[in-house]
Amino acid sequence: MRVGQERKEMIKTVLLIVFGIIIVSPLVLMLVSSLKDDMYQIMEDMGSIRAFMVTEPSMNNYREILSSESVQNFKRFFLNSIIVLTGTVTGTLLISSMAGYTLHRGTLAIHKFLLPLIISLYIIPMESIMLPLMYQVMKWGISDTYIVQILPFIASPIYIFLFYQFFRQVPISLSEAAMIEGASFWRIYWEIFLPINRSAVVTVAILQGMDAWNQYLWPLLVTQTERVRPMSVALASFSGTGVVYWDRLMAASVVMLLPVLVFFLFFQKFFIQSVASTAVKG
Amino acid sequence: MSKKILVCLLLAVLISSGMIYAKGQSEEAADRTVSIMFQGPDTEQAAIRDSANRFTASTGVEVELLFTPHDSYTEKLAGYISAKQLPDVIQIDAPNLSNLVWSGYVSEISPYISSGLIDDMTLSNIAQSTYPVDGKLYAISQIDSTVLLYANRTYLERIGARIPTSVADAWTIEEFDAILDDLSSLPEVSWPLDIMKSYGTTGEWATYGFSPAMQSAGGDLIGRGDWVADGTINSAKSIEAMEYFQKWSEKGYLVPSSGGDNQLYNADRAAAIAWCGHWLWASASAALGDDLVVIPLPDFGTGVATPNGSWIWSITSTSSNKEQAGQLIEFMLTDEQFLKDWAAIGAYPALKSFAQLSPDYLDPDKMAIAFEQADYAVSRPPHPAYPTITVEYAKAFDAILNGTDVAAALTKAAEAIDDDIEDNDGYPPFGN
Amino acid sequence: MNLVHKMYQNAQKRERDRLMSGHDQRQELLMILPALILLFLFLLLPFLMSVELSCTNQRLVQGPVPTKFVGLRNYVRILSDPEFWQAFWNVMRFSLMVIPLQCGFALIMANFLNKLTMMKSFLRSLYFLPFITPMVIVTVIWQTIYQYPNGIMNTLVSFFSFGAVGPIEWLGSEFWAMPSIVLLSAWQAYGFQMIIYLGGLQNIPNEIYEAADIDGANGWEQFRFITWPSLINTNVLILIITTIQALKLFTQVNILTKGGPNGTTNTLVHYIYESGFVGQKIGYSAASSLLLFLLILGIFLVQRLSLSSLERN
Repeated sequence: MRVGQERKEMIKTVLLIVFGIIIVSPLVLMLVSSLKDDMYQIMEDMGSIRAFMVTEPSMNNYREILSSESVQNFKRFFLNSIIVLTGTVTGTLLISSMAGYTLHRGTLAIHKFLLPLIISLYIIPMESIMLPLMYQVMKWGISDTYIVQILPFIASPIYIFLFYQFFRQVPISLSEAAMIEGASFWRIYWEIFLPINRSAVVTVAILQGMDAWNQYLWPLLVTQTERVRPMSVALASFSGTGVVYWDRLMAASVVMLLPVLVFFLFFQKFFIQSVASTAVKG
Repeated sequence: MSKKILVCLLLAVLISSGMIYAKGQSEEAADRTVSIMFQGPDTEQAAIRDSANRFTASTGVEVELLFTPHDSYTEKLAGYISAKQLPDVIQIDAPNLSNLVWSGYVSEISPYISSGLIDDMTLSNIAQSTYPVDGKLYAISQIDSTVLLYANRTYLERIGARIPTSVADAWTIEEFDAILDDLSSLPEVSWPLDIMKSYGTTGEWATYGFSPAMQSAGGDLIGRGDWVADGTINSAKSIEAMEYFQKWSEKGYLVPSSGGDNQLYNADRAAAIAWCGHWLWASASAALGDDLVVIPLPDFGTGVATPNGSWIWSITSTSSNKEQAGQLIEFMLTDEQFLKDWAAIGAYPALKSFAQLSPDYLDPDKMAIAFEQADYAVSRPPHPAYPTITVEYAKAFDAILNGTDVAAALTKAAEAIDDDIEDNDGYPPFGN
Repeated sequence: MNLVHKMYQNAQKRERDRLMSGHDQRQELLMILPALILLFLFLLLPFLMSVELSCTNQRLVQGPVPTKFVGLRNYVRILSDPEFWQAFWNVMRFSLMVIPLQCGFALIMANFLNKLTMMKSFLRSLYFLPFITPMVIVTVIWQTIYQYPNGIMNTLVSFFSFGAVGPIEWLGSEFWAMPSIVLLSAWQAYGFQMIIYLGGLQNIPNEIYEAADIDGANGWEQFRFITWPSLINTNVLILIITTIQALKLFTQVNILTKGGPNGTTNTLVHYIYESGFVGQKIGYSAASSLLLFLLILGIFLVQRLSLSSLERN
C-alpha cells in the first residue's frame, strides 16, 4: 500500500508539472521574445508559432536596459521599488492585522458598523478617487516621496477583512485561557493571534507585495523625478504614442518579474515551515 | 520562531521609515534653472536629456528634467496646475493646445524665440501650434506626424494599378475603391486594406486616422467658424466618406482588430495596403524592402487631406523665467545633434532644416511623399471641447464599422458634442 | 441543541466582557485608530470630494469659465445613457462567467498543491507565476495568442476540432470578445484566490485528515466532509473579494478592446475612465463612479445577507 501511495504521488506530481507548463506557456513567449535582438523580428513573428522560437538567443536587450549608459536609471528604479514594497508590506501587516483583530475581538460599540463600512470602502474604484487624491497630496506637499506611495495602501480594507476572517477561526478557548491568565488585549494579539495565523500573515505579505510591486497608475501620478519613481513606471518608457520597443519591453518585464519570484519563494518557505511547526506542536 | 519574524518585521519598519525620511529635498527653483516636462520612449528621452545637457554646458543655465510617461499625461498636468507648480516648459500633445491656451496656462511663444526659427516651421507645424481665436503662435516643435498608405508593390502591379508619385497625383476615392475590389480577388490577399483596427477603433486613432477622410470629402468634425458639430460631422459629405469604410468593413476587406498591426509585412503578407502613420515605415521597410511602396491618402472629392500633430513645446504663462525657457527651446530645435538623434528614430520633421537631416523623408523612393503631405494637413479641431469631440467621433466610427447606420451614428455624436459645448456656455470667446 | 449553543455563547460573551477592563478598551482604540485615520485620509476623504464633484460640471483642466453647480444633471444623463446600461450588463455578464471559473480553478489547484510531498515550492511558484506578471504584460502576450488568423488560440481550436472550427476573431467579434477577456482574466488572477485558499487550507489541522485516513475516507469524501465545511470563512472572503474585483474590470479591456466591438466589452470603470480621463469631464465621471459604488454596495449587501444566513446554518 505504501508503494502504491508513493507511485500515485509521483504520477500526480508529473501531471501537475506538465499541466503547469501549459499554464505558464504564455510567459514562455515573453522570455523567448526578450532573447530576440531584432525588434522587427519580434513584430514579424507575432501571431504565429514562431513567436515561441528563437534561433539566435542574445542577451543584448538585458545588457541594454541594465547598462549604466541607459537613460533609464534602472538600478535606482529597482531600489525605489524595493523600498516601497518593504514599507507597504510591513505597514500593511501591522496596521491591517491590528484592525482586523480589533474588529474581531474588540468590545467597542462602533465595531458593528465599522466592518461593513470598511468593506464598502473596498468597493470604491481607485480610478474614481485618484484625481481628488492626487490634488490632495500635492496640496499636502508629499508628492514625489516614498511615503505617498506607501501610506494610501497600508490600511487596506481587503486585508483588514482577510485578517478578520482568518482570526475568526482561532478557537475561542485559546484566548479565553490567556485572558484568565491576565494577558492584555495587545498581548493576546501579539503572542497568540499573530503567531497562530502565520498563514494569514504570509498570504497578505505575498498578495500585498505583488500589489506594491506592480502598482502603476498611482506612482505615475504622484512621482515627478527618478528619485522615488518605481520600476513599473519605468517600464512605460519602452512604449511611446506610436511605437513599442518590444525587445527591451520584454526584457524589462522579465527583470521586473524575477524579484517578485524570489520574494514569493522566500515567503513560501515561511508558509511551509509554519505547517511543519503546527504539525510538530499537534 | 515567531519572535524572529517579529524582530524581522520591526527591523523592516525601522529601515523603511528611515528611508522615507531620507528622501531628497526638492530644491527651490533657482534663478538660473529652467524646468521642462516631457514624455516619450527612452530613445526620445535620451535625445532631450542630451540636448538639455549641452544647453547647460554652453549657457550655464541648469535644466530640471521632469520626465512624465505619456499615460495620464494630462492628469499630471492638471495636478501641477492645481498645485500651482507648472514647469517652465511643457510638452503638449497638439490637439490639447487650444484647451490649455483657452484656460490661460500657456503663453504666446513668438516673443521668446527667433523669427528665423519660426520661418523654419512647416505649414503643418504652424497649423498645429496656432490658437484659432487670435491666430497667434503658442508652441513649436521639431516633429510632426502624418498618415499615409503603405502598399505591397507586387500585388499592385499584379492588378495593374496606377502608382501615384506625388500627392497631387493621389488616387481618387472611386479609383481606390476599385483597387480594393481588384485586390480582394488575389488569392494571397486575405484583406485588401489594414486600417490598424488593432490600435483600437474607439480611441484617438479613429479621430486622428479617419476624420481627414471626411475633410477630404468636404465635411469635417465640427464647423471651424461657428464651432457647431450638427450639420458638419453629420453632413452629406461626411456621411459619404464614412460610408466607404462601412462598405469595406461589410465586404470583409479590413484586417480585423485581432489581426495585429503586421499583416502587411509578416511572413503571410495577407494584407495588401496599410492605412497607417509614418511610424510604420521602419518595420515595414525592414521586412518588405523594395516591395514596399508609399502612397498618399486617397482624395475623397475635394483634394487630399491628411492628419498631423505631435508633441509640441510651449512656455507656461506662470513661468517666471520665460526668457530662458525660450532659449532652451531655441537651443534644442537648432541643435544639430538633437535633430540627428530624432532623425535616427524615424521622426517626421516639422522644421525644414530638420528635413534636410532626415534623408528618408527626402528620398522619392522612400518617404518623400509622406513629407510632401505636410502641406495638405488639417489639424484636429483646435477647440477646448476637443476631448469630447474625439471620444464621441471615435464611438461613432466604431459603430459605423460594426454596421450601425452612418447618419444615425454621426448625428448621435453631433448631439453629444453640441451638448458639451452648450454645457460650457459655448466656451467663450469661441463661437462668437 | 441550538438553544444550548446560544446560551453557552452568551455566557462566554458575559465572561469576556467582565474580563475586559477599561485599560483594554484604550488599547483597542489605539490599535484600530491608525487604520481608521489612514482610511479616512486616503479613501473616504477623496471619495467625499468626488461626491461634491459629481454635482458640478468640473473639467480636468480648470478653464476661465468657473465651475458650476449643476445639481443632479450628471446623474440624470448617465441613467438615461444606453451606453451606461450596456456597460452595466457587460460587467454582470463578466462576473457571472469569471467568478465560478476563477474561484473553482483556484480551489482545485490549491487542493492539489496543499498536500504535495514532492517539489512543493517549485510547483506552487509555477502555478503562481501568471499572477505575478503585471497586467500590462499579460495583455500584450494574450493579444498575440488571440491573433487572427494564425494565433496560438486559433491553431489549438482548429487542431482539436480537426479543422472543423475555422479561425475565430476572438477580440473583434461581438460574441467572443467578452469570453476571451474572461479567460485571460481568470488565467491572470486565479493565483490570488489560490493563495488565499492555500492559507485557508493551512488552518485545517492535519489530525482531522489523518483520522479520516484511518477511517478509510477517500479523497473526495475528505474534501466534501472536512475541507469544504472548514473553508466556510475563506469562501465568504473569496466570494466577496472576487465579486468586487470582477465588477471593477478595467485594465484588460482598456488595453485590448477599449470597450469594443460595438460596446460589447465596455465596463463601468471603463465608462468612468473614458468620461474622466479621456473626455476630461471630471464631474460627470465622479457621478458615474458614485453610481458604480452604489451598485456594488447593493450587490454586496444582498450577498452578505444570503451568506450570513448560510453561515448560521
